[in-house]
Amino acid sequence: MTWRRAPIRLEPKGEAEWDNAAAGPRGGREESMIEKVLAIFEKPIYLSFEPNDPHLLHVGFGSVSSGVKVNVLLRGSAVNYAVKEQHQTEAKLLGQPLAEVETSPAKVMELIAKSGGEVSVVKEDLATRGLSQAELIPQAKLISQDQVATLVAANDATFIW
Amino acid sequence: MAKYLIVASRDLMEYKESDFALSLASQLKKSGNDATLYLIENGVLSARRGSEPSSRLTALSKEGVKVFAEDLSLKLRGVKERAEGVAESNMDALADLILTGVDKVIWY
Amino acid sequence: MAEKPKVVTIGIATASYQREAPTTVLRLTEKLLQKGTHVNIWTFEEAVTLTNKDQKDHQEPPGLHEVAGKQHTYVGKFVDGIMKAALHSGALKWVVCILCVQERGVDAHQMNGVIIGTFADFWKFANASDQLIIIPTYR
Repeated sequence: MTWRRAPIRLEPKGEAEWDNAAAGPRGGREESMIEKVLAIFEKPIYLSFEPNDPHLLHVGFGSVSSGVKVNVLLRGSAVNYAVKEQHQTEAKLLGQPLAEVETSPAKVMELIAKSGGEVSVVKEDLATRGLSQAELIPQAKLISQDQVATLVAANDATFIW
Repeated sequence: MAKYLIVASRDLMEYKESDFALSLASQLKKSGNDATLYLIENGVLSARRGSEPSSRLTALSKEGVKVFAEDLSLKLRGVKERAEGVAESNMDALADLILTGVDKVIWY
Repeated sequence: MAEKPKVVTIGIATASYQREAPTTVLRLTEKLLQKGTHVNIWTFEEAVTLTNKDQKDHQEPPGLHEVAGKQHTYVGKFVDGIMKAALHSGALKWVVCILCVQERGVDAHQMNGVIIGTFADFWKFANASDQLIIIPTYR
């Protein structure tokens, strides 16, 4: 494996360099092919030694720092991500906080909404889990299960982390 | 209208809400799109004739959703008889679908 | 005029040995490359270990030889093979997430040929791709 170049590092040197040019402008192509994506979350992750579910952070980054419009659909137990007042800094191990920052998946949803993305939540999945809209952040928009296909059709690409 | 490919790699029986992938395929088809459901990895377990979800796959194929199961995934798992409506496919065909056969891919 | 090659971006966060997903990604990438596609693979979380250059073959315990053989190879060999296959066409970019390699202590262990990049790289790939495929990470 030594005949190829050593790994290229594109480590950003400062905040501005997070928008690095590894792929060139628009990945080397003149036209944008995918401008709107729908990121679907189904299964929540908490307290994994990341400040939030890393896939949420990845999508949040896209929302804030890329040219792609990022919309989110929460379904299954991931509807919990839109619940207000989730707290994690009380979690400790050996007296040390497991989560250094008071953040929550709902805060990422708020960030995505602030960046122009839509946060949709499947209402049937809320009901199954004993949740109501009043318990969610105001940016969460309820849709029914049979509207999901329309949402998928409205985006250039759909993925499920 | 668009052509969709939903690749179902998860065991549809293990995950309680895996019906989502099947329902989405059905909804997309009913809305006038072209929909293909491609089973791979543990997704092919549902293609086994007589398995609980297999009747759902047969129903989908009757609705006009094209349903495929990847040959190597089937062989690895000893799935000898596929449910009615599920055709055998291979990785080459999956690559072709992704490149030229469909507009959008959703990997489940 | 020659048709522009299609571009497919695949994102994966799953490591090998407990999941089939990386194997499927390699198998699919092989086919896509054979068809002249440009493939961007962006690995995240545990999938950054796929390109750890310090992977090695190991011997199986004697009690398991009957069911596991005497030794088995490692996924890195096949990643290396795929990179080699695309060397002259330049059609494959394999990018690992810098945050993920750092937190896992595999930053200095990445194979030659890998690009250590950022979230921004994924989103630029996404923007410029004909197809975007993310392999779900099962919890």
